[in-house]
Amino acid sequence: MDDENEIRSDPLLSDLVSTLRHPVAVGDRAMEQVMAQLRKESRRAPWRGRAGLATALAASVALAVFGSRRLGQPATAGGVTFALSAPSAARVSLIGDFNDWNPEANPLRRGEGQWSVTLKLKPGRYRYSFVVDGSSWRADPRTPPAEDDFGTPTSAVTVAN
Amino acid sequence: MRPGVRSAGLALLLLPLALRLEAQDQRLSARLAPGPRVAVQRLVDSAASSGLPTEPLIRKALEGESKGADSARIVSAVQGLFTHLSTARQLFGPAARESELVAAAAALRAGASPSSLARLSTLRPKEQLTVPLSVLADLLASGIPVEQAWTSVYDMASHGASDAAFLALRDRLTGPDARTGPGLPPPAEHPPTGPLPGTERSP
Repeated sequence: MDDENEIRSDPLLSDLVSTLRHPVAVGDRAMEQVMAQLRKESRRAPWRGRAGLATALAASVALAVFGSRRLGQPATAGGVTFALSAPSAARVSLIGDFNDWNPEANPLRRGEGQWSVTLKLKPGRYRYSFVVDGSSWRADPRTPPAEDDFGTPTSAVTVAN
Repeated sequence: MRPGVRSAGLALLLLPLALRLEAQDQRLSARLAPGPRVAVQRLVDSAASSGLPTEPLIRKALEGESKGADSARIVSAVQGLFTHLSTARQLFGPAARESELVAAAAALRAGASPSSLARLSTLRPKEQLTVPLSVLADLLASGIPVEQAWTSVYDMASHGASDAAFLALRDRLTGPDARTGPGLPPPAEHPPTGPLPGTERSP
């Protein structure tokens, strides 16, 4: 059974994931009220509301269901493989916080179906991009987008301890 | 005055200038135009004197240069990062690691509130905050509303979730493509690269 089927088979997980994937708009005032309540609850005792309990249960179930699988396995200090499918590219470079954004530092090697390179990185958060044929900036399609100050596609990887 | 004494006096007078030139980051000198270089160097110097990490600021400037940004934008981005790092330092104190400050700055840049970051630190007083903060930044950068991203991270942190659990949460919430990000198996149609070494969590 794949991950989506597993989620669908569990009503609690399904509700949680569905809600979080399709967020509703919440006004500033409502946000302030929620945060004020959160602060109040935190001072009083650990999270005790129904939503908190449901989410905690869902998180526990998710960990129990998926914990033994590769899903969510962190990139570790042992090595992080960066890969991009660019069949028509002549050259692909990895550029990011770990190499001073130098396009010459970490060229990717063409493999079977994709370009890749593996780097050893210390634990932390690193932002990066791919540069295809020296001019085309691409984010990593396998990761969520990262915050960016310069208007180019950027990704982020987190290396855990 | 004897020539030797005169030379020694001149050397002492020039010492501060020599030290200042030495302190300038060679990467900035090599890649930035004089205008933004001076402005960024001042921010770097200010960070150093304030106990903030300087490498993230230098990297931000180099990123802007590499991406072809104009001088004003580069300086503005470095200034913004400086502000966020300062906020993170105030929140987490002098013992916070550079990786935690960088992740916190990313979360702040993505829209997290300083108060939420402060609360996260109270929930994990003895553990590193790098991964939860980075996951919060990822969720926000993915477009998940602030309150929902925060609630997800808060719940995990309040129940003692591991770093791996935080990353699993992020992978689950940011779409199927994210499940095979760096360090994870490549897509099924491609041959696997094999397991990564050192995937066990540190105690």
